[in-house]
Amino acid sequence: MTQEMAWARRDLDRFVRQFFDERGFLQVDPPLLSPYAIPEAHIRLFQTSWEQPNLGNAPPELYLIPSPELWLKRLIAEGWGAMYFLGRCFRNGEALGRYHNPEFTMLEWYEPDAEEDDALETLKAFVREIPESKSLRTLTERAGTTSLFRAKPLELTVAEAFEHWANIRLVDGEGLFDSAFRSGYEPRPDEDWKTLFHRILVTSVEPALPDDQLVILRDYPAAVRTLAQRKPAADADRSLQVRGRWEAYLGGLELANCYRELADPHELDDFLEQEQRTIQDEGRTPPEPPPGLRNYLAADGHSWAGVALGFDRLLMAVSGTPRLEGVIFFPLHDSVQTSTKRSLG
Amino acid sequence: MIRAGAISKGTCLLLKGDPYQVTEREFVNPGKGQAFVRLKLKSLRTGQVLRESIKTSEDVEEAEIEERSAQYLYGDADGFHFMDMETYEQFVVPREGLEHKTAYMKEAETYTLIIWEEKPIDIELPYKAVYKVIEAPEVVRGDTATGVTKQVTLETGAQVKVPVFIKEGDSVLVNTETGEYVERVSS
Repeated sequence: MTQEMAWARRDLDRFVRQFFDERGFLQVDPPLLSPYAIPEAHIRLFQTSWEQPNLGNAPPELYLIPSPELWLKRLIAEGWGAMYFLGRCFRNGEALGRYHNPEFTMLEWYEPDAEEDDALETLKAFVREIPESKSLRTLTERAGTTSLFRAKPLELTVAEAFEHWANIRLVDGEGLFDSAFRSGYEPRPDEDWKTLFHRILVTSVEPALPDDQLVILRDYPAAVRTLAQRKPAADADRSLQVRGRWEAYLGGLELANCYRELADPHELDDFLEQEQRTIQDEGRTPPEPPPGLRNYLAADGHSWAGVALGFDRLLMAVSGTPRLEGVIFFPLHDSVQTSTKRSLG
Repeated sequence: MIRAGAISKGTCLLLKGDPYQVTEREFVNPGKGQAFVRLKLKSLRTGQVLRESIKTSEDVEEAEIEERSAQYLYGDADGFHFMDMETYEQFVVPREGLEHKTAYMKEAETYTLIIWEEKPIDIELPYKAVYKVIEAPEVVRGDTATGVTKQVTLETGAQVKVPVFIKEGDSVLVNTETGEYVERVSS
C-alpha cells in the first residue's frame, strides 16, 4: 500500500464514523476473541486455546470473531438502539486472492424497528454521500470513480437476475434443475438445490452484473437457510419462497449484505441444528453458540435490520484499486513465500 | 483427479469428455454458501471458450496432456501436416479451431504439439516470432491520411499493421496471439 492510500484509508474511516455518528448510531467495540461463535458450515474460524493457569484442566477454545453480530445483536435486543461496528474480522479457509485476506475490516450496522428496505435506504445514502464528502471528493475525482457512486442504483430480485442473465427460472424444487439443464447446466453428482443455485449465481449472474453502478439483488431464496426472516409469499408468484435479504455489488464486486434478522426462535433452533450437523458431517467440531442466543431475537411482531459491508472492498471501489493488497497495510500476501505467491489468483 | 481448489491457470481438465485448459481462475465465496472456483477455460480441440464454476471441495478429472516437438510440413484441406524429426513419423492435426494459427505458422519450423489420447489436437505457437515482410506498399510522402501505420504481408500470408518505415524484405517481430507488430529485427 502506498502512503497516499494510507491517507485515503484514514479519510474513508473518518467518513464512515461521521456518517453513522451524525445519524445517532452508537459505535460498539465487541471483543475480537470470543468463547462463542454461531455455527455456520460455510464459515471457517480461526481458533486458539486460552492458557489460563487457574482454569483447571479444561482450557476453553477462543475464536477470532468472523463477524461482530453476536455482540451487536445482544445489545440491540437489550434495547440499546441503532449501532455500528468498524473493525477487524477473521475468516479461515478462504483462498488468498485479490478479493480475500483472512483478516479484514468490516463495517456492520444494525437498525432497530427496521426492515431490509430501511437499511437499503441507509446504504444508498451512504454510497451517494461518498463523493460529496470533502475529504473523499478529490480521491474519487482523481481515480475517476465519482460516477460509480452517483449513478442510480439498479435494484432487482434474485429471480429477475436469474431470468435476465442466466435465462433460468428460479423456482423452488425440481423445476430449477430442469430450467438449468435447458440453459446448458450439466447436472453434477449429488448436487443439491442450494449448490446449483450458487453455481448459477457465481457462473452466470455475478460476472454479468453491471460494474458502473450500485447493484442490489434482493429476495434471496428461502431454501438458502440464513438468519434472515422469511417473507410472506407474494400473491402473484408462490413458486419461490424468499427471505428478507439483499446483497449489494459495487464495481461488480460483492460489497455488502443485509438481513431482516430472524425473530422466530424455532427457526433459529432449526438453523443451529442443521449447521452443527453439517459441520460434524465434515468431520469438524462446531463452535459453541452463546447460551442466550435465543434472547437476542427481535420480539414477536418486531424486526431489525443488520448490514455487513466490506470496508477494504469499499476502499478498492473508491480508489479504483483492482486488488485488495493495494488498500491494506500489511496483506498476508506479502508474508507468504514468493514461490506460493506465483500461483495465487 | 484434482481437487478443484488446487486448479490453477494452465491446468488441463476433462469436461464433458473434452480436454480444456484453464485460462482464468478466481475463488468466490457466495454470500451464504460453499466456496467455488470460477474458471474460464479454452477447449484444446476447438478453441471454444467455456465458463464453469466448481465447488473447491469437489474432485474433477484432469486431462492427460502430452507435448511433442515436430516440424511443420504444409497445410491442406485435411489439416496441418507435421513430422517428428526423431522418428520421422508423420501426422495430421485437424484444422478445427486452429484456422487463426495458420497465418503465423512457417513451413519447416519446429512447433510443440499438444497430444491427447494419442492424437495431436493443438499447436503451440511461440508467443512472439520473427517473420519476413514479402509485400509492403510504399507510402507517398505527405500522405498522412493513413496515419503512421500501413498494412504489410508476411511470408506466411498474415496481414500485419506496421510503422511506415518497414520495407519489403525486412524482418519483424510479431505477437502471434494478437497479430500485433512488436519491433523490427535486424536480419
